[in-house]
Amino acid sequence: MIQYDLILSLGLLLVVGGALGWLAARLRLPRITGYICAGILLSLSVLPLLDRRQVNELTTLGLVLLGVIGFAIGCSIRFKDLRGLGRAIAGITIVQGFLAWGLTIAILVPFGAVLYVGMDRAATVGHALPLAFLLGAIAWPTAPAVTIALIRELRCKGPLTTSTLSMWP
Amino acid sequence: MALSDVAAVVAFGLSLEIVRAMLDGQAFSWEVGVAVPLFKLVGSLALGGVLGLGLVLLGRFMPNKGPLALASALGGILLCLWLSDQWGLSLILSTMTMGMVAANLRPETGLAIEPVEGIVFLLFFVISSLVFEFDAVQDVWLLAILIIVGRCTGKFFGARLGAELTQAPAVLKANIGLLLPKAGLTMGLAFIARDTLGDPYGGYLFNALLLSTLVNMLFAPPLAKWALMRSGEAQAFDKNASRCKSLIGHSKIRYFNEGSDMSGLRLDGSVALILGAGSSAPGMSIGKASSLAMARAGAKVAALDLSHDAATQTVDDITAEGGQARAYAADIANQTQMQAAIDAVMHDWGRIDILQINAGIGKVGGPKETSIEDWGRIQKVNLESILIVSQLVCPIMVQQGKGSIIGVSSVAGMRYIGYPHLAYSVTKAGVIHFIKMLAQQYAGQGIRANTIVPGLIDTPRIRKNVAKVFDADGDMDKTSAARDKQVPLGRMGTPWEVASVATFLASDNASYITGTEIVVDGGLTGKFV
Repeated sequence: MIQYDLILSLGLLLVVGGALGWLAARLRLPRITGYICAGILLSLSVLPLLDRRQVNELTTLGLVLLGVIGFAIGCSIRFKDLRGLGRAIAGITIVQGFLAWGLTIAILVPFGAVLYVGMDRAATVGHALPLAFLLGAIAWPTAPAVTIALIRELRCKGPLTTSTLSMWP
Repeated sequence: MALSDVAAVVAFGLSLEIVRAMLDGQAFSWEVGVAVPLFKLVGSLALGGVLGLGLVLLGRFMPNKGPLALASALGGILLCLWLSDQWGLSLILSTMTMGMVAANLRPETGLAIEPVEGIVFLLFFVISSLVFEFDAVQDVWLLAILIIVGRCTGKFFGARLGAELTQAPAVLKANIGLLLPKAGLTMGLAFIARDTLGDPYGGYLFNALLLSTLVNMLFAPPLAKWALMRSGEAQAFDKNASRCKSLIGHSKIRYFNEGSDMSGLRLDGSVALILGAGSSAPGMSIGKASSLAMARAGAKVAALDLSHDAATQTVDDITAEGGQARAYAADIANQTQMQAAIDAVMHDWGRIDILQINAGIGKVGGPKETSIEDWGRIQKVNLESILIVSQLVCPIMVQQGKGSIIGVSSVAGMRYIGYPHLAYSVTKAGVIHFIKMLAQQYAGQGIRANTIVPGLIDTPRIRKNVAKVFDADGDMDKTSAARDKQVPLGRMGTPWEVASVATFLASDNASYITGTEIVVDGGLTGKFV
């Protein structure tokens, strides 16, 4: 069950996040950068204010928030705005996805022998390609949450905005 | 939609299974590698679709805004999350589909959660960066850097190439490769990879991905903000920017001696929107000459005219000379049509640096000959149109921090021209003052606004309409001669002589000129009789 200390830590996140978000806006950075700095500041390795259990429980709450953000993204995609952009969206998504994947593999494989510190070198050379393959696939997605937050903060509207929301390039 | 995410989930599922099989020396499982990711994908879309429809149906019995609408949307989202978790589906894909279905079928649904969005963003980003642990990432910094380099260069050039191949709008091509954030899904996939691969690689990869995400989170949002601002699609007024500008004491207008070529006017990289860019009869109008002149100076020209054919003719002439232009048709006195036209210009070119307003109509006669209807119509086309277009274009120029607006008035707006032309003269006087007001208001935000006051210019419209005034029975030669005689320089002006002034005012060569009018009349207004 939720403990009262969790509620206190939630309040802490809100206050620190709000303050750093305000500071970021003053520095003409996106508010999100402030929020992220607040998170890093409050993480276990910087300030000893939260404990691991609280972080785990808050992470579950993070998933719920991500759901709300997903819904907000969906609401922002209007089919009528997509007219004429469909081809561009599909093309850009596929080409940049594969290029990000391909380049990640191309950059990681030559370094295969030195990357995996503290492991059997002979084995890592053989495993470098499959591991690069996997990391390349993870390189594909873009964080839609960051994009939608920025778009709302700046009140954006136009083809770039629509395409970005539809594909998360 | 959200193609990238869909593609990523499938590609990841496939490669994870390939890697697992290779590392463990086991056979590849089609079920784990292909069937499960596909089920995840289709299932998420289906769940989101069904719940979205449900929300739309529910919405029929409920208020559009307020606590009840918010509560039902949030309730739907939580149900969607729980079901996604139960069935192993992608929670972001399902909630997104739900929002998309709901908001497209019933736009009010999309407004329901707006009141809580700000706080949701705040909490989400604070929480998602809580998981970083610095001591875990010491061994993996090289891997993390290589991941960032590979991903960002791949995305940047891939986006440009993709935009090039599909002939995407210019604004997409220029900016979409700069939107590089990653976070939620990357970490989600990283968790799965860690648990599936186990030691030694699982933890190692996880930490590297964690570090690369952290670094990315710090540089990608400011870069994305810059790209969105640059695209001109951000509409929020940046208060800090305007304060900084006023502290420095000058705006973003570039000065003439800064990299400009004294020998010629250059408008390279600018987009010029010319209203009334066509010619109402064969020949050269001020709008058409200005369009051609600005295109020759390197501007991309958005040629707008009431007649699509006339605008297209101007565009054809520009393209034949090797310039860039597109035709747009709209009635400048019609707000809806102008909104659509300017949206189209922004879609095609992504910005508007120069706005020249040429269109104008008139009716010869004083108060007795001018009906209320005539007055209304002339006022609408000559003056209200400027209000409409400024409402649409000024915010774009403010966002760009740069713009030059050129009104085209007439000597009739300054003097009595020898015969009553009341509505025309009064509205043209209004143009001068309207532009003056605009110039003062936006001077601090990088916009210059000036009026050109042409005298007697030899244009097709003059030939068509004014001949009768000179009592020459429509004989153009007599009309021309009569007009030539009036002007101290001994001749009427050409549209090109107005266009060159317009190009000058549009260029950075005129960087210190705003809020004034330039009379181009061969000395006409200076003479006594």
